[in-house]
Amino acid sequence: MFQYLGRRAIYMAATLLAISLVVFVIISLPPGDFVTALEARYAVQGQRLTPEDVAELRSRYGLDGNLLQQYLHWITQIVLHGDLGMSFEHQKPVSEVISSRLGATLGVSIATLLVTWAIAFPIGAYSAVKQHSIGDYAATTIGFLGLATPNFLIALIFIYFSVNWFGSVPSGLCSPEWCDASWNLGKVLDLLGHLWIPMIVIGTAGVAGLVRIIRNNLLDELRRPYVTAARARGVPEGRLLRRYPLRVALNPFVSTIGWVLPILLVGDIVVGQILGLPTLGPILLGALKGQDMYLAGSIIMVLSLVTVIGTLISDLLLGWLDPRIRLGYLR
Amino acid sequence: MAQPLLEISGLRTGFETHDGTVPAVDGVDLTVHAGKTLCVVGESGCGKSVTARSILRLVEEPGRIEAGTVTWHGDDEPFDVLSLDHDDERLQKLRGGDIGMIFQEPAASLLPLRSIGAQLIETIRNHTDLDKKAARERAIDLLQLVGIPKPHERVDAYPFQLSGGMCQRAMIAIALCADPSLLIADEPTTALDVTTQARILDLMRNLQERHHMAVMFITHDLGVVAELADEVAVMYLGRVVERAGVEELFADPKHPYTRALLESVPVLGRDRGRDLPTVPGTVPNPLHRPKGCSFHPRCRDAIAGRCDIDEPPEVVFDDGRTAECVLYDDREGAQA
Repeated sequence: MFQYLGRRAIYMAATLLAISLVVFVIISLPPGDFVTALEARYAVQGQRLTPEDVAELRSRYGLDGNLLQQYLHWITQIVLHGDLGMSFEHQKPVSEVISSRLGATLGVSIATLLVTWAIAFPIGAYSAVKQHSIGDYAATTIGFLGLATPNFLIALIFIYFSVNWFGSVPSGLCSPEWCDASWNLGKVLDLLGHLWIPMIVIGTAGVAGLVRIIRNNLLDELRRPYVTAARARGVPEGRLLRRYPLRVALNPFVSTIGWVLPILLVGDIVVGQILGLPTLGPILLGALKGQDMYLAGSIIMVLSLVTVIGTLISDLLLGWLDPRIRLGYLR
Repeated sequence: MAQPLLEISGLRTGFETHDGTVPAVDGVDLTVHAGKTLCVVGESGCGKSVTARSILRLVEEPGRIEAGTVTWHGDDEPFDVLSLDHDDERLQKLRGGDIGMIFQEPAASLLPLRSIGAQLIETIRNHTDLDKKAARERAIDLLQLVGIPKPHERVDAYPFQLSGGMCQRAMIAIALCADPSLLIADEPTTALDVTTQARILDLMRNLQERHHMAVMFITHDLGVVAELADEVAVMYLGRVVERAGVEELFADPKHPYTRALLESVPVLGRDRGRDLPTVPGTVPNPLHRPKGCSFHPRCRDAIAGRCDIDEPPEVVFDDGRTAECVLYDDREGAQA
């Protein structure tokens, strides 16, 4: 087991290293850098930077030297000192910018994930067991609508109705009066009052997708000979469903963790922007626009890390659930 | 004659398709006697398996049992299985309790995610009031009984760690866990290689003698029939066309279909250097069953103007055997 985990850790590190190179190169691809952007901004204000100023700024921000040197500088800082660099835009260390938002992001993502599962699983199971029933058709139709409607559109619809009905725009995760308050019941209630909106907006597509995954898996499994065989030996229907096909249908469900986690983490970038959520999504968007390369690179690295860890978690869970995987690797 | 244990009468099971209802089982009458082996034999698609599944109401959508009765005489009071409610206790008791059932694909019939012991213990605890520990002991005993080596270790093995033959033994152990009076075996050896097949058949014969079980054995293999059966029912296109004791059937097949089937069995020596006789044609689509006797397009003895028009009568011979064929119509009641 430990040997397995060790091997996986090495693979993970190698994967992340490869990702970091690709990410860095892609972020540096657009012509110009942050100093160019800064120059343009000063120019708008009527100030002109001398070539000496520009060179000085470049060397201060570590933007001199070629791409490889910049990359090596960046990655050694991360690996050796855990230093993600400075955010030009925010004039703060990247780690501070990210960590201030990471809590809210994780909170929204995990809450959304759990709610998504809690809703999707029973609906999917019902839909499969009662295939071709009215409930199944309803779930399938709503599911398709949910999948087909872009999240940002749902967000806009929400805003439209809340402005019309309540006269206010749901924005962020807390009301102004609570935002800086320390944690207490009032703040939690206020948070819950705000949380359900991004949860519905981000979760709809997730629920719709998962319902379809579970329904199709379960439909496959319900037709297997072992279901008939278990029925033939008198396993009561409810227990039969829970212990036999549902357990097998759980597998693909678990293996989605790896890619669902990062999607939730960026939230939906556009949705985050529209709803003004203090998540990583809007920051990533801003960083990419402003060529704030260290910030953008770091956020993408965090997402990659979460993806890799999510994959590991889902692999471990799969091994725990399915002896074929567990014992297959032991052999 | 032994006591009837299970009586199937007028069973009709159809499958809804876009082209109409396919009558897979079209009026089957069968009787399984206590302690005896009934072999149901026929080509693929003749309704053998659907008949077997209809007994325990295991036919799945889009299939539906449309008519008939399945009377169980194993309890003090005979009852019709098909008219029970879905949640009737007697149905639960029958399934896996009084009637054990084994299937064609043993490995696929066991849940891959749980050990064979877990599935065995679950069934034991469903049908007896043994506690967990006693049930495990019983599971190990049963695995020993069906000839699984090292049952103490194998009880925790997963189905994918065992061979097909071992899985079928485990299935038999599960079927036996409540000492059933009837074992329904739905082509249990079809997916196994010949040596394994012979061992499983030996095992079933031994177990039957030891436990005085009745066995209903579904197969398309006449060799297996000769080895196991007391009585034989030959099915063709959803109907039983001939019923007889095993010796009578092999010595003197009445129905032209049975005769054709028996001729198509290779005999060592005899068949050297010549083509094996076959039943000409294929089983017709049950949606478009031929008018009159459904076998007449493939029958050598078909009488034009008779077999293709009228349903053949069921002729009962003196010794209780039956054949559904016009050839014996005139001699009804005559010595077979």
